[in-house]
Amino acid sequence: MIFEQLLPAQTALTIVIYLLAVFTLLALFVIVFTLALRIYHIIQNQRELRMKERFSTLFFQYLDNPDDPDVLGRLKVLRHKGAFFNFVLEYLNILKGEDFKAIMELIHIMGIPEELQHMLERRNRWQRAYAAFFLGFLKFKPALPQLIAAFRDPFFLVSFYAARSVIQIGDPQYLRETLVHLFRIPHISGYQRMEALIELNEDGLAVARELFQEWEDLREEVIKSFVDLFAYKKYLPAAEDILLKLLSARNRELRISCVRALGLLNYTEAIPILREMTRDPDWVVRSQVLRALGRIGDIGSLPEFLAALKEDNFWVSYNAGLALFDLGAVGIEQLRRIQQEETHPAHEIAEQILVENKALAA
Amino acid sequence: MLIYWILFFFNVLILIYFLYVNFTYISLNLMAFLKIRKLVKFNPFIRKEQAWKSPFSKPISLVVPAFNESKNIVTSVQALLQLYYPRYEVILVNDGSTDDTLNKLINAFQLKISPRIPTGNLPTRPVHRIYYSRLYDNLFVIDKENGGKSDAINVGINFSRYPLVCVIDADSILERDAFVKMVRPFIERPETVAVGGIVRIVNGSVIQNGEVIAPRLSRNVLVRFQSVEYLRAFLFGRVGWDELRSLLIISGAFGMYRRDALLNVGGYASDTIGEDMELTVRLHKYYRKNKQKYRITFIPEPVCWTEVPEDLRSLKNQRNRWQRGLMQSLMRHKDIFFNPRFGILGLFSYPFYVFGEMLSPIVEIGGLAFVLISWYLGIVNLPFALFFFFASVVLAVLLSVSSIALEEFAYHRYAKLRDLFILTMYSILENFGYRQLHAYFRLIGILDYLKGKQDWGRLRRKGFVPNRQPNLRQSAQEQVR
Repeated sequence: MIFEQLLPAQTALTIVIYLLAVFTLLALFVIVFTLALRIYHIIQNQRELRMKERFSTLFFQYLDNPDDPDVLGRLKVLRHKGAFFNFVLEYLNILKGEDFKAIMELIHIMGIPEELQHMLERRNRWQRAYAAFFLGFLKFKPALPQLIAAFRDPFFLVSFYAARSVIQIGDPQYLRETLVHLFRIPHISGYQRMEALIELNEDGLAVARELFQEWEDLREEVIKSFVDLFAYKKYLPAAEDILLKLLSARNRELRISCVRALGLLNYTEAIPILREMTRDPDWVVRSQVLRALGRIGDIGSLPEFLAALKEDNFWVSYNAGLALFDLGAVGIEQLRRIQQEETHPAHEIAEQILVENKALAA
Repeated sequence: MLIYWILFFFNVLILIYFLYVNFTYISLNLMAFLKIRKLVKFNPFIRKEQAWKSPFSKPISLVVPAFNESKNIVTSVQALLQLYYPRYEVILVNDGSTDDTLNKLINAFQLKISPRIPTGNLPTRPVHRIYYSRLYDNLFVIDKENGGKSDAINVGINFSRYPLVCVIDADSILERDAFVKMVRPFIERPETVAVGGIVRIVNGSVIQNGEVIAPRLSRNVLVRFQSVEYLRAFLFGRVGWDELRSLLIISGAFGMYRRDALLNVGGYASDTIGEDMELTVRLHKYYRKNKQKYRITFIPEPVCWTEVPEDLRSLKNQRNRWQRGLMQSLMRHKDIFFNPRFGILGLFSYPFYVFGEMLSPIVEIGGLAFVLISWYLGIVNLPFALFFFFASVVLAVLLSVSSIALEEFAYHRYAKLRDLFILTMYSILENFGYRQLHAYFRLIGILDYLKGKQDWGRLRRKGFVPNRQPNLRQSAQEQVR
């Protein structure tokens, strides 16, 4: 037979039979595994449902009367504190004011932060990451030394969440070290870093500003993160530093970030430099400069805005129109005038901006 | 003697093919399992609310091409306007519909003519009018001359304003948090140019106000077979290829792209019927040729629900078109084939698409015919052939049930135990008839491609509008479960 050229018929048959047996066993194993998973999920869900019912009764009883010793006593001796914490987390995103405060107090009374502290020492790296993540959320100050120690954790997520938690807790004593560490953690994206940075409080922003001024060999990516942070937080004390960075920046992305930040911070001192930049050869920079001047409300740049509105590049023209709109009544009047002159090269853009901002004259 | 050697040669070829394809599938399966396991572990830390509020979430233009979608269009658009995302616009492109799609939109959303100017310069068929909605700031409707799906998407890209462009079909349903999940790769890795999300089958599910409130398995036999297929294709196929950084297709039903990347490559190609794959391959080529860092990825969490064919004729047309689209894309970019400059993509992924996907109908049907002929001529060892056939069937079952296991492990969308059981049964049954039929449809697709056939073929759709009142109490219980 054909395969006897390769293998004796009996051997080939034996191999195929073995393969069939192995595949069948594997397939059966996977099917059983899937069913076992489903059964596990059903049991788990039923257990969770029962727990949820119990938790919600206790939870709402507590919210109705936080001083009820009976409810507090039952909550303190609750066996599944971790599950209760997960249950409460869903409400923390919705509840505000007194209820939020009461729940945070309850979490502390129940000793959940201490449990998370223990969890930070566990062998399972995902449990350590979970603990590092939530200790900051709970702003649990006694965990600070442990969180600082967790910076050296071999799992980068533990290290990152520990840094983020220290920022959330906001103790100025540790912030400098934490910020330096934050920019050294591997495998963390700029976005994740920014998510941590926006948790900085006023003290933290002051520390960030110090670093921004002092670090001479700062990578451009780091400078940009700080500039974006100050702009988002509307941290005016840093505006002057941003302006200085703008003057020395060679990187295009950084220059764009600085211009945008100066506009968002409404930093009037930047007007002369920004006016000069309206002639920048890069159209992205130019359009951002126009927008920034509009945000600052620089009426003196009106001729530049009107000139830029006629540019061929859509984005420059569009941003000049938006800048005019940002100027208020004076700018809107100009836009309406241009919109009515059909021969004007920018009348369509003016109309578009007025329509989008619901400012078209009746 | 010559026949003997020809048969010997083909026997060895089939054996090598079997080993090659199945080794690849098993490897993809394992990689997908590891990746999904990691994603599941990471999930508790992704606080959706945070991404939703994050000031760094990039705004998205959602482009929806529509042709004669009068039946569902208002419900679909209303659902698209309810997504959880801070900044996005919906650009619906009416591709010269001959029914009352446009009128329905004008009346339902109080559309008025907009002066909006295009910012992209992709060549397209003429645009008649652009409308904005007086009810929703972020809804725009473009009415254009009919030019096909790709042309309509290109118009949408031209008029889009935001740095990310998401493309979905007008008859698809996006889950409310799909954007929040889909956008993460773009903000975490700025080099990301395209992201694909999972497409799930909506037939049989309970839909309310344009939202899938209870995913269910359809009663239709063909849909059930396709459910197993989709799980296999998305949960281990796409995830596995993504792990190798050589994803060759982002589904046309649900993909998100960086707008500048789309403009760089000239948008969607209007002269192909496999426009989604063609675009993905072109993106790979552009960024590799220009030596720019890029990433095309797939994430299995953002979900888009789509309707699949329920009758044989529609299924045949769809698979025929997919096969022709696949062949067009692979032939158009044949310079990637075993080209070491494209790394794993050129040396492994692309050749697999040629041998394991494009040629598979020929091997499957040819192999079957060949074994029968060999048996008739008495030159095949019958017990061996039978055991070999059963081994290949059991291996196929193993791969299918693995994807069901993966689904159950990570997402367990099908709330009923019965659905899971049915899926398992269908992963066995599909080997006896459905697979062969599917191979036959694709074989016809190969012949049509060789004849130069270009049309899309007709698909009969039932539409999403719920045809029965959902049992809300039961649905709520299922959701809790």
